[in-house]
Amino acid sequence: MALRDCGMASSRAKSVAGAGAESQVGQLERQARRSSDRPAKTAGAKAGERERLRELQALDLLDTPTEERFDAVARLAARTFRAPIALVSLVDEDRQWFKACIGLEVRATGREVSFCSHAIEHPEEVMVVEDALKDPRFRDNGLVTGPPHIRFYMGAPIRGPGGSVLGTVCVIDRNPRSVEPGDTAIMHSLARLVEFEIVLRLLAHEQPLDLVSVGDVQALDAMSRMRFWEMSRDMLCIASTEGYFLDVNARFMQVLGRDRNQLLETPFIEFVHPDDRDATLKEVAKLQSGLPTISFSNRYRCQDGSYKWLEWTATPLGDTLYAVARDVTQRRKMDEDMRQIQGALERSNQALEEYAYLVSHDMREPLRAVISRLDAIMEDHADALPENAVHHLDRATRAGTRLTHMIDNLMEYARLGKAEPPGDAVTDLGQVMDNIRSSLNPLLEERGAKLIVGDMPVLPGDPARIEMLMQNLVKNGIQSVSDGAPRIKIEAAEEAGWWNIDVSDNGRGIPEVNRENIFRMFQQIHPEQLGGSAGIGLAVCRRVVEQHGGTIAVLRSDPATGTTMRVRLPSEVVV
Amino acid sequence: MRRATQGEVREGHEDGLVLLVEDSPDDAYAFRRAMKSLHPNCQIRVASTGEQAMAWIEDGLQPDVVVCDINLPGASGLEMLSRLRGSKGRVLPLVAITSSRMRRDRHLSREAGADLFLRKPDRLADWAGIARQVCQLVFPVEAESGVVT
Repeated sequence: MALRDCGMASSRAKSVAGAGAESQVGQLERQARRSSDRPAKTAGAKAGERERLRELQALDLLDTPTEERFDAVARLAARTFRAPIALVSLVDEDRQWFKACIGLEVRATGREVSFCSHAIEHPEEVMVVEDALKDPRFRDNGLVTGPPHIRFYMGAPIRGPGGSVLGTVCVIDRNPRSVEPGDTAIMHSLARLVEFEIVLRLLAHEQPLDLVSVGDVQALDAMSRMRFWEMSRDMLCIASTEGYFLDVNARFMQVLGRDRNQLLETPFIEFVHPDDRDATLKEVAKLQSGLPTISFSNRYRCQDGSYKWLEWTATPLGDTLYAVARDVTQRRKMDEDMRQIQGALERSNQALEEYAYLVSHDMREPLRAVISRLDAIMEDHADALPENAVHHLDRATRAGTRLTHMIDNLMEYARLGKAEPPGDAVTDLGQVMDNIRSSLNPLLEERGAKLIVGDMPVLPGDPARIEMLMQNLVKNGIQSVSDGAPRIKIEAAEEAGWWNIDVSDNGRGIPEVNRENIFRMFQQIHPEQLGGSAGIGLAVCRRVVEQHGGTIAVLRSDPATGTTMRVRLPSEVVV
Repeated sequence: MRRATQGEVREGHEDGLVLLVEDSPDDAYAFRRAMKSLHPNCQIRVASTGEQAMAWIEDGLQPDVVVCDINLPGASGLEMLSRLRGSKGRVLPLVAITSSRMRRDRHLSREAGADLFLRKPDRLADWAGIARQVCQLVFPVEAESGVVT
């Protein structure tokens, strides 16, 4: 189970470390007196055999006393298959030696009669011989024709933590048998169990220095992995799909404040927050069907009754789940706080926008009434009024008109706030300028203004907002001219991924100190200016430009020649 | 849209009857002033709510055009427009006016059945443009022949 995973990982590690292993092999060749008298094998196979024997020796299993951990597996094998003989057999250079042995008196046989030697040649397969007398490989074998009279053999290869095949766990019968479905899978599991015990035995001995001196880096790897399990900052566990933890690491216990027994003896679903149980069971069912869990979160109850948010990844392997969890309680809380702040911000923005509409309609109404009544007095009674009264009326009307413009601009600015990003919309700037020319026609005529438009590009952007931008710039230019006919010139040029759109006027210019803050709300360039855009116009411009990933600035300004504003917009869609 | 074709006898109001539905006395004043200066003999009835306007029509008032503020208290102007459009078919010209700058108003007015959608101007003088467009609906022949400009 854990071991299968572990074994697979180590064999991968081995192949990666292959080049490094070569020199160790050379060393060992000299010191280990390995003869080359074994017949007809390729050099690669010979090197593989050397490597295998080296790992087997390094593990210090051969010729050692029996150990309960391995005997237990052999007993389990014998009981499971009701077999008279069960072995944990290690294949040495010229013999096989039994680390565990049920039903045989001897602890070793020659390699030439060994069934297991055959079995280890296919490390991924369980070897089955249903009737040795009918198998050409074995019918003349001394172990078949003489004691112990083997007829049936089933053996699964065992790998060491370094990835080499060490031998097998096998069952033997004196009568021919046929295997039933599932038998080989059980055999496989027994082999994994032996592999597990080999690693545990290594850890129990804790002799890393000795191991290094033997040069067995890979055995050390296995220990490192086990330490990794225990020391991990992540919560690691192995669980059964039946709903129990089979093992948990130290961190797992630490986060939940629970001890191992408690965790292993209680169905894990009982630790899960009641509201998360259905989702958890669903996720386990998904795992049972063989699909991994990539990201799943649920709440686990700690010993002190509090809950922790755990974020899981898990991989199923048969009925076993290998899972990693991370305590994300803190992060979830921060996310939640963030969401609340964001929600509050959105609500306040919404309130602001609603307020802007109210302002637009409800405040505009009485203001319009004021202006139109003032107009009525002027139209009907101007002749009857003293000159200074007419003057006052005129100033009052202009101020009122300016206030309506401010309200409209404020509206526009508020509306921009909730505008969608421009996406992949495209704007024909020439078309935009045509539209502006016709909508501003009354103003152009009134001021005798000239609008000169050069070659205009088609560029990415939302046409409605780009029109708002350009219209504000043109109006702003016209209003900057106090004496004579305004002359507004629009030019566009491409420069390294940007469109430079320059809007020039022949107005009064903008004092140096004001060139940045004119883009803020309610900043007027010329406060005395009547009917002006009241400082919101350029704030609207900046908002539009920024929404399109561009910039706006005063390019040059001079009281004698006027001002040029430069808008830079990306010539490709901003992703 | 109603067309005063030759030989048709206009019922009742020789000089045209305009029903204005408007809750703002200031806008009603501005509208009346502009209409009168353009067409001194036209009659203008002002209802301050949609309900009142509907009641008048049910009582037999036969306006030549209905001009309606779509931001009315009570039953909204839009609702009144669609009810009128429903009961009067295409015969009665309907004009929606508003001071709001919301872009969807034009679309909503068209949907409710308005023939014209006009924004209320800020300046008194600009009401003349509104009056001109309304008159074109009431006196199409004269308007087209240039009698009224």
